Amino acid sequence: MSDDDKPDATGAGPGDDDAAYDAALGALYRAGEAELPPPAVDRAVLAAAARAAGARGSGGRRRRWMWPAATGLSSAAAVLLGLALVLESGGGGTTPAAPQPDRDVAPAASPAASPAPAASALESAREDAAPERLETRATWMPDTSLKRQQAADDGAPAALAEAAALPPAPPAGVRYRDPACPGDLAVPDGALLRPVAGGLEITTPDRAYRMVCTDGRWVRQEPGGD
Amino acid sequence: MTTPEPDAQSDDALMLAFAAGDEAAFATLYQRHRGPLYRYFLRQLPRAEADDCFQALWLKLIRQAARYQPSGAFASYAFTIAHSVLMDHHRRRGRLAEVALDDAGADAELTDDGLALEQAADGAALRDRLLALLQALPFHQREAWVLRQEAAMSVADIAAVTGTTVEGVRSRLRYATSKLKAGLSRHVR
Repeated sequence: MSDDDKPDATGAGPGDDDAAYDAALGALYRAGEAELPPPAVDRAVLAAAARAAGARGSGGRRRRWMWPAATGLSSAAAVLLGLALVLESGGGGTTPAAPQPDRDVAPAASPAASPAPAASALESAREDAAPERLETRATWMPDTSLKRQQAADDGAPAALAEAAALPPAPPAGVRYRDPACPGDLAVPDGALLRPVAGGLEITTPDRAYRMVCTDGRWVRQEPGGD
Repeated sequence: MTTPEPDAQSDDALMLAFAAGDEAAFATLYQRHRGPLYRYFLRQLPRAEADDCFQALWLKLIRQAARYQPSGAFASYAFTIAHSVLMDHHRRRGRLAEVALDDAGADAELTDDGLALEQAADGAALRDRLLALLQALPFHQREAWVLRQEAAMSVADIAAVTGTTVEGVRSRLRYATSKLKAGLSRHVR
């Protein structure tokens, strides 16, 4: 135990003399020129405070600005998500996969940079704000196309009526998507498509071939190759 | 019963204004308290270390401004953090044991440094002598005495700032005054 934590050794309380002397000591202590921090220290502290105040001030402004922007982007993201779900439910339950360029098929339309669905919804909404770009991202439904083709082939009224109720044919440059393969498959314009075991048969005016999903990857097979 | 609004220029109001981004409020607060807080460190550390601790204190106050709760006692709040900064500094420098033991030779006789009586009559020299005696006090006694002089704190406030009892602070102040008195009496006619 240190001496300053022990009771006063004398047992006496501070008397008037001590109080008076204490006051005199205080006066003497404060009599000289008061030491202040060096100007460099003052500047450093005030600069730190200015940075903090600026961050808080701009943070407040940024938050105020971000509310409407974030709300708008969230709304756009919600609309996009809803659209994707509608298209997907009409397509027989295909699920979106991360789009990747397929080198096995010469694309009719150059696959524009296709953002991954897992990317930030806000970022997607910002990039996809233009409606014409929404079409290029729609997932096409192969069974819908097949029904339409079969109805045309058969000429049956019921089949034609059913086909008429189907969603319109995919626009040029649309890409085929299969949950088994992570990459989209670019389909040439005007090609006839027919599902086959493990993939798709593609017929164009000058050639016919199959694209098969093997080990999570699209592989091209020429006729008679299987 | 409603809580009265703090004066616009009160420490609490300035701290709250700074927390909301008012840089000028901080400047006012800083000007108001920088002297006592700086001298709190200066009395207990070499100047370079005092500068570092002083800056560390204000950086803490700046960082914690958003969480500041107005209590009408900003000075006590600031000195509590200053005490914490000082103890951390001693801990980092391995001086904590020394502080806990209240300095080696705490009760050693304060030696006469040869100050002549003629010089003692000069107020500046007498003050220098006082500061030298203050430096020679044990850590806790010196800290209590400096808090009393610089912040005009009550014994209870000093106890709260330093985390000790009111009786402990009274005892420290009594010993400090007694030693300073003894050290100066030889030089005062």
